[in-house]
Amino acid sequence: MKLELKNINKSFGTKQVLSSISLETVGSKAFGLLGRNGAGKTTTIRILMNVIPANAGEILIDGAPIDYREIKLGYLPEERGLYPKKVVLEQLVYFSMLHGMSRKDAVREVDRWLERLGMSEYRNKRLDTLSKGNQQKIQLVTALAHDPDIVILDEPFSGLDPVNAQLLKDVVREEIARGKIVLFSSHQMSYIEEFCNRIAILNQGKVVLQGELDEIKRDYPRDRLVVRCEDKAALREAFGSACSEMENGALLLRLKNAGEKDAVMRELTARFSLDELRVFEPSLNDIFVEYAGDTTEEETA
Amino acid sequence: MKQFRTIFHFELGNYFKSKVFIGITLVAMLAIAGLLSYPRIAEALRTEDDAETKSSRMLLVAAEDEREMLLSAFQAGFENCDVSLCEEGIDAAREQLLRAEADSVLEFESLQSVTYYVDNLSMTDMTPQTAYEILRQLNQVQAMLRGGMTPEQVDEAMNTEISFRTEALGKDQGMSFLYTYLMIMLLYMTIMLYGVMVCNSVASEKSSRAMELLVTSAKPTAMMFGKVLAAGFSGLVQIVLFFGTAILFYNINRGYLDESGVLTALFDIPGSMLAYMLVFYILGFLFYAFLYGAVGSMATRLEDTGTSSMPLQFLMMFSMFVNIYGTTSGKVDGALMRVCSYLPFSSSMAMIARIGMSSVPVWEIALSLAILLLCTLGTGIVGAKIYRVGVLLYGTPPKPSAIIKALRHG
Repeated sequence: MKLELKNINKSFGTKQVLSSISLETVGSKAFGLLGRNGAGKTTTIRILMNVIPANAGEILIDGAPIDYREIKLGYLPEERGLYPKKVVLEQLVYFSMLHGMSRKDAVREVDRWLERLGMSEYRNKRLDTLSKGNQQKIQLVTALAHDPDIVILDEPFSGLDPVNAQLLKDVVREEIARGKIVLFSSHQMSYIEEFCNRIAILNQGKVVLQGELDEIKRDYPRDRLVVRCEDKAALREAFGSACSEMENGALLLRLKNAGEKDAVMRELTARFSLDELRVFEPSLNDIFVEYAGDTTEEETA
Repeated sequence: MKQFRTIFHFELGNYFKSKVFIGITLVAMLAIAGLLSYPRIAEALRTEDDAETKSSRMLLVAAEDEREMLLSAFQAGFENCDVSLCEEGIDAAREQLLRAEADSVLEFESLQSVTYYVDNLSMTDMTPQTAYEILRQLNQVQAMLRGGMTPEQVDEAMNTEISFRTEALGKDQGMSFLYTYLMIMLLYMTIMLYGVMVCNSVASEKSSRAMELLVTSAKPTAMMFGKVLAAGFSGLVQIVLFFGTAILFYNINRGYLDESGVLTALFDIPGSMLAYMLVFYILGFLFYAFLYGAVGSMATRLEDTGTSSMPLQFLMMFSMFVNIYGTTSGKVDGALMRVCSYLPFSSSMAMIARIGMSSVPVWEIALSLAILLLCTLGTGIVGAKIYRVGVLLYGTPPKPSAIIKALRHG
């Protein structure tokens, strides 16, 4: 299954929130939607979920406009919240039924998920008697119990301890393995790097970067070198402002262009006693900061 | 439709499983049963001693030649009182009054001049008026006798029988006022209670952020209609239970209650009227409940609902006051009431009042009903749209202009 968002535009009043957003992902793959607060992630998700209409553009499944009666979506919102005073089972069954399940099927599936997440003992407890992490796991059931084709997880790992985070990772892997489209939205880059084959970075309502994560990293201009040596001062003197210190104590040497990489590397090896010399490969965090940085933070959604 | 049913059942369950709802319903039913059974219970508990001690004691102080005449006249006039003479004079009578051996004293200086003594003058004490009337008749009799009429002639003149019949071709407002008023009060209270419940239910879903999930799981129209109709249905169930209890206990205790015309008037609602009232009642409730739902969706926190719903409360209070004025002054067909009986926010109350207390042509009822029905559907649909926009807005409640803009832009 292939999901495409084509040229989605959205404005609230005079404010353009999304400009020609085009995204593409397929089943059995996880897609990472990144962006700072106010970049347009939640609006994109809401348009995808048919909560608000787009001003222009289309959403396609395998090339045909999406039919929301056929395609089921599961959503774990960033702002978690269920009915605090209601019994766990009752509200989970209610949400599953809203997605079109019969009561019998809903009870069966909810029970299966509670079992899978080790939450069966809380089945008949009121939600507000559960710990925050357990409430989060209950919330996850609302996104998955109705067996959605597209799973949208907004900051799924926030608030989870390492054990629960591992459990969630396993569950997400299972869903990906079952051929589902999984869409991640998160600020925790390590999780995105771990799961997502493909990412898109939104900035001020525009897609500023999209593609396979490996390719993005490979295509990144190879115009920076990581250098570690005893005599940092001599290196700084030789390269001046092109040289800056990294957090791990190594020096980052910015070249004028990638073409002079080999020559500079030879020069460095000849002139200095080096402990480490390699081409700098950015982490997702670095890519994110570069593409999503230097804009004022603004809430749009 | 399936979503609507799911939401309707879930919301209905919220009401019917709520301990507060069950508690209030049971207490109110018990109170109604108790009130209607009170005369019967009081009758069963009353002993002869009670009956004696309960009748009040009146003392008369008068000149010797008038005593017997006054005593017989006042004994006849105050049947429920123990009327007796106090021959020791006014001071002794006042003493008895102060020692609570008597409840009232009437001192006659002459047949034209009397002083009424009482410990605490009750607001509902009718003794002065009754005594005045007895004395006036006594004076008339005396004058006729002095004028040479025989006692038989006087008796005939004083007790001429007059046959007087009233036939209201339209409605007897005296009879219909009570149930009309009760119905309007009931509608007002139901809207207030259940409207606020709908409003709070939406606002609490929003503040607990369950809304984030709801809005992505169900259509706003299904949400709005499910919530409002569930609230309306549970309100109706409650009212049916209250009325059922009242009718049951009225019939059980009928023998003990019949003397009171008030209750008969209340339970004597014609069937067609009840049907009209029910239709206007349901539509009037739904009209407001949809608006309350929309208001609830605007509030970020539960505490905001009070101020946000203020305009609705003013609308309702305006309708209520117009109705109170219209019904109590008897001008139910006045210009203001006629206008209000077409405006959707007041027509449910005003039309109930007009149908109840005057003869309204069928076309007027039909027109008012059509306007109300269309507007109720309209508020339902617009309410759902506002709801869809409102539930995703957090922070300061938006201004009306911002809502209209958001509605236009989707």
